[in-house]
Amino acid sequence: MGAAVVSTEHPHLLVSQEDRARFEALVNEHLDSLYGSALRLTRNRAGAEDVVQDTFLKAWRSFHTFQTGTNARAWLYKILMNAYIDSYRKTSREPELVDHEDVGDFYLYAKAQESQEYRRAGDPEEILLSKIMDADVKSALEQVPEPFRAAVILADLEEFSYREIAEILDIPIGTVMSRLYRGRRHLQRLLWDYAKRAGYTNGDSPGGSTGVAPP
Amino acid sequence: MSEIDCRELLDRLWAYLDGEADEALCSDLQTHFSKCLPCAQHAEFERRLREVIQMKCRGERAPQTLRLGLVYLLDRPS
Repeated sequence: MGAAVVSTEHPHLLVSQEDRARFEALVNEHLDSLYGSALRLTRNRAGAEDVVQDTFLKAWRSFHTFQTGTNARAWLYKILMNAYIDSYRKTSREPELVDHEDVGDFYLYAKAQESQEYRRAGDPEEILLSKIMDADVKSALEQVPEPFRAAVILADLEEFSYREIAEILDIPIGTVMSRLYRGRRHLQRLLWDYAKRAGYTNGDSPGGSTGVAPP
Repeated sequence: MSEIDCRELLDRLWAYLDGEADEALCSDLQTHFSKCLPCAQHAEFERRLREVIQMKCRGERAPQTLRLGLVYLLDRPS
């Protein structure tokens, strides 16, 4: 812990009404997206609310160090990621750091192309994408193990640049890229499982038991 | 300009789709796509897949209790 500045202890006594209004604007602008990311990270509503509350509390305490005109979103996400890490340390619920599954080269595109079932039914990519439209993609994303999940959330949902993600997670850009690569392979693998399951349960599944080709 | 083969393309596709590729890489990839339909289709599939993932995973709304609680937080002595 670094030495605390007096003003961080009692910010409410020292910040102006103007600061407060600026901070409230920040809350209004970013709350929904931070909450959405926290939900995908913690995988439950109570956990997400705690993490977001902690994020804004920390942000408020260090708001005097925040320079207007700098990247507020990246600043808040950096605090969010730290709050998330603190939250699982506190509850000793370590996120799964071991990457058991070998997803090395898993590409949904290749799976769609290889699938006899999809090829018979016409356009394999279209069929697969429409199955994924019907799948529980949120739950699939939440099953991507850490630390890969955080990288995917920051890049694919929040559309931060590699450089911003490197700063938010405090890791080198090369590590951002490798985590993203693995995270995406995991997600595609999980989505493929959903698509396969949908293929067996849907009555309209290509190659299903009706054996009647659509007109 | 260097020729990219299909295997190399996969390694670099992400920088391109993520908007992180420099001009030279963009032009190399576009040249490759113009000659190689499977790679062009693969890139298009990844782009659309990401759109589907975004559509399905975005748009969460923070609960009103959390929003109100945050305002209270600002007034609370730490």
